[in-house]
Amino acid sequence: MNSSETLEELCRRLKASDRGAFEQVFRRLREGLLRYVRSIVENDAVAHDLVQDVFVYLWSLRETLDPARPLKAYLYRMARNRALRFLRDERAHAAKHVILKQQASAQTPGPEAQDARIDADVLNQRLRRWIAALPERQREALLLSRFHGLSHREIAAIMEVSPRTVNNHIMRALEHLQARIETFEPTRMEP
Amino acid sequence: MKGGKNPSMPPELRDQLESQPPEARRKIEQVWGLLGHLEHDALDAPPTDAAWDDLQQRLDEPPSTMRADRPAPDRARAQKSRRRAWAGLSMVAGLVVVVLGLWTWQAQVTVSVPRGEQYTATLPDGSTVHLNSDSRLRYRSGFLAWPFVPAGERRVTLEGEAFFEVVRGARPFVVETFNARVEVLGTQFNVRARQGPLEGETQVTLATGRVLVTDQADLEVSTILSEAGQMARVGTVAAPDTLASPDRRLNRVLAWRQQGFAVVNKPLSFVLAEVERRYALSIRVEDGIALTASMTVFYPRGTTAEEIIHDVCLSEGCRYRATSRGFVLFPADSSSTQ
Repeated sequence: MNSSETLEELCRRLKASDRGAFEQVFRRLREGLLRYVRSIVENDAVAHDLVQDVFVYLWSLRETLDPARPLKAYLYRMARNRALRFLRDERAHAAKHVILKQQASAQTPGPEAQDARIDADVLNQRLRRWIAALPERQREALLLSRFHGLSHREIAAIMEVSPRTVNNHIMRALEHLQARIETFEPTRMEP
Repeated sequence: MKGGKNPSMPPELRDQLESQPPEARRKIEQVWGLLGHLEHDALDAPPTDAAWDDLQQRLDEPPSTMRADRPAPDRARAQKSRRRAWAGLSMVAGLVVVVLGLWTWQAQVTVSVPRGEQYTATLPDGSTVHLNSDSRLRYRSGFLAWPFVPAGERRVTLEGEAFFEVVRGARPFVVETFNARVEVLGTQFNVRARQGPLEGETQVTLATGRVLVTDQADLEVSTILSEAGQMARVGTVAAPDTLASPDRRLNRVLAWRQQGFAVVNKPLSFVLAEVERRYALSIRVEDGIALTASMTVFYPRGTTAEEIIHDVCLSEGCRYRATSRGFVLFPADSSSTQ
């Protein structure tokens, strides 16, 4: 019965201080949150700390949860707030963040890009770098939509924008990447 | 492009693509699909099990200031220094799962649920146990007798109250309490085995299936329960409950699982002790209230300590006041000014 339980059911049990339900929520959502937070703070250890904090906080306010509202989006939003606050607090880190991003966007496809035998690893690497070089909000919306299984509505709630804006961000991001891939390897994109 | 890796483009994106030329649409779809091939790079963070242990420790720390009713100051503080916060009284005393013994095969697993909380545990055979507040469950890790040798029975020991959902298996499933032994093959039932000044018996109530209940002191004395709502009691000191209908009894016995609360025909002191246990509170009673007055309270689902205390006072003709740790009950006439 455990694996099939929806987050909504788990949320209801969590509200009743059920540690078992809490553990399941943790095991189900932790990794996704970790990746998401890391994509914002760009530091694994910090991401881990922040995500742990999110769950400690979730436990402390479990009694006020509303099972009718999506728990997943709620957690992502809490994580996001913490991550952004962290960035704001760490000026030095923020500066570094910008430099890294500039480096990433300064990367232009090298001559090997024309090589027809480009393997998946290189493409993967490139893709990752191009994603990192996307404008922040575009990247965030794209990652949440593509890798975290969140709907536009949920993403809108997390990022505090309208679903329409979310859609625009994602579309822009895809167009961006598409243009990059085109210059990278004009004939074939099959990895 | 592998279709499987490209399960669902959100409908909003699809809609927007509709208005674009087919070539452009195809390209965007390809990018979307291509992203599905992107492998996650490794996370340099503790594995989930370790993270969960760490989390448990933090939750089990002496109650923190993380109160839901004052989120804002707490957040600022927790964020600033990540210092673990200490204070308060009745927050999370915590649940501890301790694996004892040096060898896995010797390992005794103890699931301990503090006052004010409930917990659902999964046993090695896939059975589930819902533990009520202030209860402990022990069993051999993996239900093994020796390394790689399964024990003859799936045996757990219970102190407190729990609802069992036992999956069918070749080996009998046995619940031992301080004075009783409950044997089943696959069924759902509630066991309450609490020892203290107010009670000292084991109550087994059947939800579905069949169980065999045996008195540990006299193995000849055993009872078979085969109908929902039937109850067997071992070591009974109190008067039998007065609920004639098995359905009604089952509702009351299992109320705790819906966050309800039920006490049938018991002294006031029993009711208050149960409230204390369930909500992790402390209730003081001033002189002049008859603690031995027998009463029945029943809330089929979610209720609060205050609601129960309020109703108890209404029926007993007393008054109550909230304190920092719970409630104090006093006779109605002792505060005639009100």
